[in-house]
Amino acid sequence: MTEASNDVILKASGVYKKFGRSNLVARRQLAARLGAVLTGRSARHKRIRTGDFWSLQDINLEVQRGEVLGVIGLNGAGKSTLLRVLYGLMAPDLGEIEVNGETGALIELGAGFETSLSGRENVFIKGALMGRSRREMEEMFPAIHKFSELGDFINSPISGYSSGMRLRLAFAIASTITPDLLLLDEIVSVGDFSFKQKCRSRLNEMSERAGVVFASHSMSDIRSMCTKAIVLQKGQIMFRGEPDLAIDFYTDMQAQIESKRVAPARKEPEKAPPKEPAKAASPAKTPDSPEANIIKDTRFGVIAMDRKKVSRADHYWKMDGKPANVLDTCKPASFHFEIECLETIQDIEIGLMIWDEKGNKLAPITTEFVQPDRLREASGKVKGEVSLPQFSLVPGRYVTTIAISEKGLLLYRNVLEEISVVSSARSIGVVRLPAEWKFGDDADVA
Amino acid sequence: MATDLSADKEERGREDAAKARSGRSIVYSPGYRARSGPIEAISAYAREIRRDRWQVWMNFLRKFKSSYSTTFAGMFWAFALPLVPIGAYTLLATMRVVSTTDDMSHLVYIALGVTLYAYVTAPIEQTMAALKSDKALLSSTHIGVFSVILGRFGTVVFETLVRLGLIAILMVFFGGYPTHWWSAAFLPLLGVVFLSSLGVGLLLAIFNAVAADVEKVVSVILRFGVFFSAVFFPMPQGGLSGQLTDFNPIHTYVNGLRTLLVKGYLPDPAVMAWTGGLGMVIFLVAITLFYRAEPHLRASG
Repeated sequence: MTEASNDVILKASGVYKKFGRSNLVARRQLAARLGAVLTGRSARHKRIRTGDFWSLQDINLEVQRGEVLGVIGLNGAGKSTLLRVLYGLMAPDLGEIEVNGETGALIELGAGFETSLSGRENVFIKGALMGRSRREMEEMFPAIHKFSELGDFINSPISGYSSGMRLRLAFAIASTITPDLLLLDEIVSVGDFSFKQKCRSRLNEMSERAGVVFASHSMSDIRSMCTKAIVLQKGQIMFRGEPDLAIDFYTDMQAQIESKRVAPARKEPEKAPPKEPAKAASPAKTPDSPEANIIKDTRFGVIAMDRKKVSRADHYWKMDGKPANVLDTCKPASFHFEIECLETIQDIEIGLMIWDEKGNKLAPITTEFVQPDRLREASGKVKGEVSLPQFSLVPGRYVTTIAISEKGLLLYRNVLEEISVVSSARSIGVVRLPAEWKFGDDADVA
Repeated sequence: MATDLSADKEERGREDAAKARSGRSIVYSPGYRARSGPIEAISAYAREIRRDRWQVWMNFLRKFKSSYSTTFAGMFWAFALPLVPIGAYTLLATMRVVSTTDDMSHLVYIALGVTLYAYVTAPIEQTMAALKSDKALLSSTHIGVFSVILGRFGTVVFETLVRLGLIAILMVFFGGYPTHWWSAAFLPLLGVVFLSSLGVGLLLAIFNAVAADVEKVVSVILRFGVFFSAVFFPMPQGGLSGQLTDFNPIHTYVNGLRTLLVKGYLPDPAVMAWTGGLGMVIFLVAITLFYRAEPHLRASG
């Protein structure tokens, strides 16, 4: 074996894995696989039958010593299946996986722990499962104990541990043993901040002498820990390359999926101001608007329209120069509106409100303090837009409402279709404020 | 310095072990283990059992302790429960509900019959049960499947030892203790019986993974089988039923081993030889097939 090939810790070539949509189909698949191997044949299955689906398709990847491969994908994309297949817990239906050296894995939190035994005893059991003798584990024990930060709890049964304590112990064992290949699922992202920092630093140390495959939904973890990344969708590798580029690809892919998902919702608000009010909705008046007819009451407020003054209103979000219902936290966005007035409206005020899904008001955007001259007296078509240098809200689903009033009296109010916000940035808190950093001489420090 | 030298040697040994581990290469493919033979299967499982011995022992203790941990009488049940079937069948014999034998004390006959029947059937039932109850563990770790199966034998081994203790006491009081050196062949034959039953258990466990009905059918057969295996009354020698008993391996093992231990001879050596031989063939076939099927059985969890 050449030196170069020695450095390749993991190589997957044309790997496929099939699952069943029901228990019956899964048993049929199992029977077919068993039928093949029991008669000395390979269990390769290329054909898809009713109820089958590919969980992994044509996976080709290579991990060398010193590399950390990030695996990104939506739920159900095949990340966990990939790790299980790479770990040898499932045989592929097609293709081949070659692992050169030892494999350690943290795929399921607490898998393999004997909960009735103490943390100390479990260290030795886990070590034995990875082919380590008791003497070797005795040498490693102080390091494992120290990293796990379990203190005296190391002598208590694991059944009394919190999930964080179990995670710390599992990670401490798997990373101290230093396998040639370490497979990590999401679970490392479960710990608290300081533990995550320790994990990152340990992974950095490990990656110098081992290969790591790390599946996560946390883009910041992928960005900071991985040397390359793949994006999985429906079991296929859609992208491979630098982590930053993979994250961009994933964000765009997420945006496309979200836009398809929310597109049907667009119809509902457009129906909201019909030419004739819905039969069930009786004409009513808001306290501050004697004229506006309430068409519908929603948890985001009323949908109302004064037909004597406003004949039509159109409004939408725009990003990257085109209408969008999927926005990116870090990109500029704008809201566009066009109102057709039947009468002249004095001192028009336009207000937007962004709500979260639960109906909490998050961000008002109004002309209240702007008072542009053009809005003193509006008639005919009134067009406008409000630009945000950065959309700022963290990933999630939001609802926008627009309200138009004349001298404080409501003329028009509508609840727009839901928007989805995606981001390549870490999703912490509620908003990501646009910020400019200065350092050194540029910083104004008194 | 001697200590330094020994440390160097030990360090070198460890380095070698690490190098060997790092040099290990494994290929997972649809044909993984598909062409493995019995030698590969047996050596792989032997390595696994050696590797997991600590965990097997802990499982063994845990399962045993947990059976009685929530009872007030605690260990009393551990000793009393294994003796209940012996007591029940002895009562039936005393009441003349079932026929007895003049060859040996009916107490010894029944106690040995019950003990051997439980010993023969346990590997069949426990193997299927282990794969079912520890599915999650098997599908998420590389723990050896035999380590899981053997871990379940804790209670069985303890109950067998308790019953054998009772049998020893009964032999002292009612006679029938081994007097011939041939009785020593009882122990190696116990090994053959265990492997035969384990083989059957492994084969059935493969089928049970696809159709769980197998376990139910086996349970019914073993419940009724006790009445056709000379456990607490002798089977008729003549007629159709007498001929059929030769084809009942459990009867062959129970009756043969009991007579061998007490009387020092096998009632029908030829039948015992082909039953034992067939049992070993089944074991070799079963362990090979199970080794091939294991990755798929694990993944089905």
